[in-house]
Amino acid sequence: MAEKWKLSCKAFLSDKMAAIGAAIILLAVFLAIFANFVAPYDPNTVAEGSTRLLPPGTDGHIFGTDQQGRDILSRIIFGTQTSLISAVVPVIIAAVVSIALGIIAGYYQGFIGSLIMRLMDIFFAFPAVLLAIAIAAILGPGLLNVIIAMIIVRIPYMTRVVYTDVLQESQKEYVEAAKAFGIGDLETMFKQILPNVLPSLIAYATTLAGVTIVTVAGLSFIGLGVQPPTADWGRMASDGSKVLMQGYPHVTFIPGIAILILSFAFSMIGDGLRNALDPYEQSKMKAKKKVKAEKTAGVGVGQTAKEG
Amino acid sequence: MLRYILKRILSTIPVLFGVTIIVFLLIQMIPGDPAKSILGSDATPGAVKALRDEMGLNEPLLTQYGLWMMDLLKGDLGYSYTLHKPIIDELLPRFVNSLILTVASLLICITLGVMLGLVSALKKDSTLDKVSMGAALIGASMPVFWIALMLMWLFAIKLQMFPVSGMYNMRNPGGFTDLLHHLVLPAFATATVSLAVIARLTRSTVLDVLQKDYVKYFHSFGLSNTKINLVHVMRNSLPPIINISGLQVGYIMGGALFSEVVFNWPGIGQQLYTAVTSNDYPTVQAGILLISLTFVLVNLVVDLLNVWLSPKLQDSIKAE
Amino acid sequence: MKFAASLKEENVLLNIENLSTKIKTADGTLTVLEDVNFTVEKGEIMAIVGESGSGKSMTINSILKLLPKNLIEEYKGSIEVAGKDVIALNENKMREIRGRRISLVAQNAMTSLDPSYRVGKQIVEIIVEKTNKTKSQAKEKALSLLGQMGIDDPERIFQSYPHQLSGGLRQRVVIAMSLACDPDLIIADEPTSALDPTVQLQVLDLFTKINREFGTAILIITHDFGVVARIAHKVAVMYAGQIVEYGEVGDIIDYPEHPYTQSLLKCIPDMDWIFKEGVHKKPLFQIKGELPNLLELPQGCRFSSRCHLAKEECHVTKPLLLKKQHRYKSNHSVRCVLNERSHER
Repeated sequence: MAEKWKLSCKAFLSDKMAAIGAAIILLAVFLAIFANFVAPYDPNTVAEGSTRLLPPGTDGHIFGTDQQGRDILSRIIFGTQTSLISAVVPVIIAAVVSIALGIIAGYYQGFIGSLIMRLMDIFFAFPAVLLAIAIAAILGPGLLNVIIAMIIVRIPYMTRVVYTDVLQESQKEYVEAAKAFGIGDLETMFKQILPNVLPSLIAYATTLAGVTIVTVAGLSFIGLGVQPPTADWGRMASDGSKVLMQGYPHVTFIPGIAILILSFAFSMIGDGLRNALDPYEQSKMKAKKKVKAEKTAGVGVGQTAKEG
Repeated sequence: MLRYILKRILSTIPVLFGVTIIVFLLIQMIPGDPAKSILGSDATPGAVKALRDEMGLNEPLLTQYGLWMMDLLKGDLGYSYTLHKPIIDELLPRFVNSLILTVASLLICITLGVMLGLVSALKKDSTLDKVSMGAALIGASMPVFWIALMLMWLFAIKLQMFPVSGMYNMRNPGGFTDLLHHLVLPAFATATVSLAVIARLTRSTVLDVLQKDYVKYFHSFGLSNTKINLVHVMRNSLPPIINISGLQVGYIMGGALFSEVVFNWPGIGQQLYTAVTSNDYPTVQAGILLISLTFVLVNLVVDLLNVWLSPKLQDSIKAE
Repeated sequence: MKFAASLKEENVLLNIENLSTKIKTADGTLTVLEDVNFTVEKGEIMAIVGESGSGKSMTINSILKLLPKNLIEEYKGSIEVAGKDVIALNENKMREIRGRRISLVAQNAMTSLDPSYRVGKQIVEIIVEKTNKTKSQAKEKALSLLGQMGIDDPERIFQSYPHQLSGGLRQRVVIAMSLACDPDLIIADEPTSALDPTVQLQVLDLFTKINREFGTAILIITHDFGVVARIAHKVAVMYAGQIVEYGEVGDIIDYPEHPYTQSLLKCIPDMDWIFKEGVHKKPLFQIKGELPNLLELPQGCRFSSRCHLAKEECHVTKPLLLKKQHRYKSNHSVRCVLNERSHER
């Protein structure tokens, strides 16, 4: 097992895009944690007329200022906090719930299985974004409600992924063997099946986190979600759209680029994880290792010792 | 085969019911008393109760649901106290407008996406391939509202090639051409992300099919590349493409809302936005219902399409 | 090594001389074929025998130039189809030859038929594209071909999808496909490997029938000498990209000269071995060792490391393909150092 993880790590890091994605996320986390120290200005300080709507590149304001004179760079830096939280927290919680639901449905199947999956199917009847909007609208504004909405919206998708994986795994022989040994259901589900299902779920969840960032930004854009004056990228874009006609595109563009970059980073990591877990990639890595080892040992590649 | 189709169609009915139940429950979850919020905080308890009676809010939940469903089946979507008119009068024309936008976006993202993916696959590793796949990678992560704003900035404000908002010219509404002119930017904005997704998927599917034995076998007979691509490669690449395109319908319906808000396109999404911000919950409820019901029907069509395209699937169904 | 000189020119359909093919791989340039010489005459059934990796499939791909261009490092030598050299031909001209003069019989019939179209439509497609028959004429021809393949109900098979047919039926369809444009030569790469033994025999007999009734020449690639014995006239034994023995089937089976050929023949368990009652049976003959790595070929004979007759010089000298003189003066040649030595005596 450890061998498998090591190979996966190697495959993952050799994927340039995934490495870049990981670097970006690390940067974002750093900014989020140390925002107070890194940001040049307070994100919420409203300023006088002359410092309003300064273009990017102005002295002291690399990204310019918005129509309330707030420094955009600082707002972006503080915005990483809400973006990361609203992407990662719902996905993790949804993943935990989905694992439970998916494993139970996939392992037991039968009545419980179909009941759970039918329930999920009903949620699939709604376009994801609209469901998120509906739930967030009904619950009201605020970060917590957005998180709840996103959790609800993501659970059906993740449950289905876990369910299909568990179904496949349940057909495999080690599950039968476990049953024959008298290993209890709970233990089989969580100690035997779960470790095999977890890796691809993690890859999927990471990609989903990227999508969630965009969805949450959309929610903020239309007014649901984090309320002013908290710095939030979606909200910043919405504010900026009001001055677009007046000829100040930077206020709305820059937050959009931030959303794009962060979402992209998550997707790259998700892709990288998925490729790293692909058994084909792993065997390529193994073959490369073998060739390297043989070359150093002085044995010709592919030759086996002569038989006597 | 017919039995299967009927079965499939009939199985949507419970789903449709499930949708109505969820939408109904969603509205019940709203904190506060709707009658109170309509009449204001200094309304008398008597007036509130009267309004609640009129709105049917004092009945048990199941009765409320039943009454609501019966109205629904009659085509009555309820009454909006904010708009002061029956909801259906407001939503139906808007629904049509959104349909126009959604269909246009779908057409754009499927045709352009498939073309881009196909060309990239056939010219694998060329500059065109690398550039378009790179762009698709980035495009798939873009928020729709941002794309809408960017397009508006570039093409409507700076270059003044297209109108900034609305569906027709306000002062001088033209006919079909005017509509198209207004449709371009919102449709492209809505289509972009899905276009990227479809392009990437088409490329990988086509590459897969190109490696198939039968493609190589037909090559060995000396058939021209064009013939093989059109007849064999495309046909076998279709199922996954149709599948993903079906999935994109949901994203497009969601994304259309943002385009409508940015471009002020008089669609159901824009109305939903206004309803949300003005606490007009009956309208929100009706809007979500309409959209979801449409979505379920679209999924049904896509599922049936998938079966139609796969002879193997048809056979395994017939065998049952 | 010219055999063609001794044969009437117009009877030679395929003449391969000194063919060497090099391809590019991630680990370097691989010489997959070296110094390959053989001919196929009109109406002849020729077999190429060898293990996986011996270069058999490479030979076919080289003949029809089906290798992707960016893989090929170089083609040396000549491939002549009906007297015209093919290596220099551009893709358009090459396409004229494919399907019409030479066609392939697919190795794996299941994956070589398009799963989305009915089988008959695929045959018709080829006929319409490659000849000037109309669609209805093509359909007639396809139906007649299917019937001649021993299919009882051609109309039904014509309308079927590939996955609806059994393995044997699919193979017949694929063979019908290859004959659709009346080629002079069909090349079959392991046509029976994926089939049940009874079906194998039926397919082989079908090949014999096609050869006799249509006069089509057949080049059949196989690893099974039993197949060779049953239907082939001539055989070339390949090892590690080279031909090591070449001649008429009867001759080679009765008097195999090359140690590899001898070993291959010994590998076939005889009826005695299968049915003999008894506690102690001789173990099945195995050829020791593995194919050499084509990237790092040994200095001398490529078979020397596994050869039970190998002498010192075998590891050092590269043997050429030379004729072995027989009492019958047949065209039997061997690539063996020991044969060269006996030649010199």
